[in-house]
Amino acid sequence: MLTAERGPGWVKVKPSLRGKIRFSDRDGESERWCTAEAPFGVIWQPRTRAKGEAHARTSRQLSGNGFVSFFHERYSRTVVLLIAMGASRADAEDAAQEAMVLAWRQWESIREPDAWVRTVAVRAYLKQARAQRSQAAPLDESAREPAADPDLGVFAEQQQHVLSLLRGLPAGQRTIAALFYDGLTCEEIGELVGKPPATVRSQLRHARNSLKGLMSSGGI
Amino acid sequence: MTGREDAAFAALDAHIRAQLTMAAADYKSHTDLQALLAAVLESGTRHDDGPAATHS
Repeated sequence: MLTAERGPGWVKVKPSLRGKIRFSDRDGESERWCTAEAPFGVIWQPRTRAKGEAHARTSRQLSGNGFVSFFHERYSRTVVLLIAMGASRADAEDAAQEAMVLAWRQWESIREPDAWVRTVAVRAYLKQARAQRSQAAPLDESAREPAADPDLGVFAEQQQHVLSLLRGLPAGQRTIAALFYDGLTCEEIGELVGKPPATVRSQLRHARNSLKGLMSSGGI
Repeated sequence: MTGREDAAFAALDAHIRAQLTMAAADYKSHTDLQALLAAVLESGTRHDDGPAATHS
């Protein structure tokens, strides 16, 4: 990341946006990053790029296309979804960030970013979980345990409790319940996890009954 | 999922969804999302063609 790179061929411009801004090199072969936090409150751009052009491009890429607001809205929800599925906080963040990087690379062609990022993040986490299991011991999917040290300290007590209840469900139910509470229908869940909708409905029913019982016994 | 079944679990579902929404808000408030966003954008752009390209 460049914070104040400058030299022949670079000129000062007023930052029009806060945060990191992308510019092309003059030869168009690579991309550079500058920051509005550079010394003197300026950013630097190639001399050959007109101010208006640079402004239009950065505005379109970082604001107009909605990725920034999408990231702020969806990233946290994705991390929470994966933690509810049994991921540690670190694994959830890895998978969510991987999905966001891929989304940014293809942003212009993604029609439903919510569903796209959720799908990529969930599959990345499940793939990672499978790899970890196969390294540790060849366990059946139904025996998949949530991360022993999930690092949930960032959440308030009541939210930790709900996350712990979800994470305490059997693996199949846990994944389905987490996706259901993230807003997916049984049909969408079935498509994502590769199970018939009837199976999803059945497992969701078991999960809800378990959760209801646990919450009733806990006085919630 | 039948409507009757959904109704039976309505309170449970609402409670869990509300807690997960609050958990996301908690996480957001404890995380430097601006720095993360910068890292995501930088990592995505380091790839040779960046977001302007349309490939899926």
